[in-house]
Amino acid sequence: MIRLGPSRGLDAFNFLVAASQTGFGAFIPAYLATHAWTQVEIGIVLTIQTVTTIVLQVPAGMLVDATRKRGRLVSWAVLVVGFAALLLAVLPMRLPVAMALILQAGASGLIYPAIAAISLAIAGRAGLSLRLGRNASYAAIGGGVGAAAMGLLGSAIGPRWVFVMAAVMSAAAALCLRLTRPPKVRTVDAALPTLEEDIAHAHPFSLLRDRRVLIFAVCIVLFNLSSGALLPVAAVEMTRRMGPSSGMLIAAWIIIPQVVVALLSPLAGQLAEHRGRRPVLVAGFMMLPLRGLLFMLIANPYALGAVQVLDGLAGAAYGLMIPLMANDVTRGTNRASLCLSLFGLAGAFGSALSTTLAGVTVAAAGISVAYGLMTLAGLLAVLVAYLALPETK
Amino acid sequence: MSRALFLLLLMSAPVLAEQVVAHFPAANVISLLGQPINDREGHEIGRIVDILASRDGQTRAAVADIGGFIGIGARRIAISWKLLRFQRNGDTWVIGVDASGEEVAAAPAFPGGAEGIPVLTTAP
Repeated sequence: MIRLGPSRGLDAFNFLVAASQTGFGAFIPAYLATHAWTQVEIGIVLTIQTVTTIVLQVPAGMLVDATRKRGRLVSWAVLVVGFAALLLAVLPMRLPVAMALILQAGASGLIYPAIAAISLAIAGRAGLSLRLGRNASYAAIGGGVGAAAMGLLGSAIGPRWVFVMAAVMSAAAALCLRLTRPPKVRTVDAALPTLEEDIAHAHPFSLLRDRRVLIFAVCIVLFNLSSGALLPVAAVEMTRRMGPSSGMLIAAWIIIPQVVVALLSPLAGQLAEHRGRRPVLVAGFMMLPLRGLLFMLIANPYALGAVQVLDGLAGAAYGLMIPLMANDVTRGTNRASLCLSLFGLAGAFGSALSTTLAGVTVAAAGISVAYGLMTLAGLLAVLVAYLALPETK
Repeated sequence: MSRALFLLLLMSAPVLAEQVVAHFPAANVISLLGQPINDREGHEIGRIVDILASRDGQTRAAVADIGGFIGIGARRIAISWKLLRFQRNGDTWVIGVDASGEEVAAAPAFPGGAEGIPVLTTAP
């Protein structure tokens, strides 16, 4: 029986989880449309998915904090995601699809905090930054491979095979975790408060009283506001210019930043450890207004592919900082996963705001104004991070 | 008394209304939502997601999602019913639009704005 070392096992796990989650995003409306769902029905299940994600996010984080056997918890969560994918593939009808999306939303709320917690257990405080960088790297590779495979599977064999693949990946992820040796020495912070002590003063949102948490949450909202809707808006514009053949180009636009994140996340992890969190964060955030500006000025789709490298640079910094800062500011307490969930909520809020604002702006004032607003949001994010966020290392 | 009983029985018996049910051979009809459509050159351009009918009950346009990659970047356009071509291809149907890829690409987005719903149509 092959046994993977803790690091290698976590690498493979990150890859497989990311690959399996790719299908649950923008693909679902397209998939449901091929099964003759009306737009109203699709809108309803997407709303159910969004509401479930929001409602279950903080409880999921608290659950991960409270659990000792995080490996087992995340194994089950991943299997639930696989089951949800199977439901979508086999029973694309109203009730099963709604159930599948609810299950997937809840399980995802558990998976990411659990991965961060396991990373801390494996790498310790000193090695956490590097380990999280490595997580982001393997997740990006998984996401890129997942997107490419799903594009191919979807067009070559049929849309439901995307979800069969997601289910297989999930099962593989759970198996890989089974085969991973637990870390020899569990590196845990000494003097962690007990669960009872934590609950005594722990209203979940009391974390927001920590100035660092509040400011970083604001940065997250601004980051997502600047970045979330940019690619979808630009992609629709590209389809308007090029017609149905836009698919390949949009695929490239998605995969290029994933490649950058895969290559540079470990480096970002190293820099964050040796030089501090602020330099990496601010440098990454600076890519956002630059990207917005270049999208305003450049029309050539291939040149914009090169601009997407900036998306990767920003994404590498962002993807590293979320779990890293969550762990930094909750040092000495047992609330890292809760903090991570709060950051996740902020991100979801920023993303939703971005989509809504972009939609309204494009309709009312055109696409350049939308890009301009997103550039502005990016600038604000840089300013807040530079001026207000302290070093947390 | 027995007459009342008789009437009661008559009223309680299930009354079969005159029903007219036509039977269409399954091979002769096509479900439209989610069907792929091709342009004049035969390339798949997207899928039908909705039908628009006017108040007089006539189907006027099909709404289709065009382009994109696994859902990202897809645009929605309305195509006049007059432009749709339905062809049997053995066991399957092929729905085509009598327009080129460029014309489809340049079609304004559904549902449009104050001027009304833009529908890609033939020259009058």
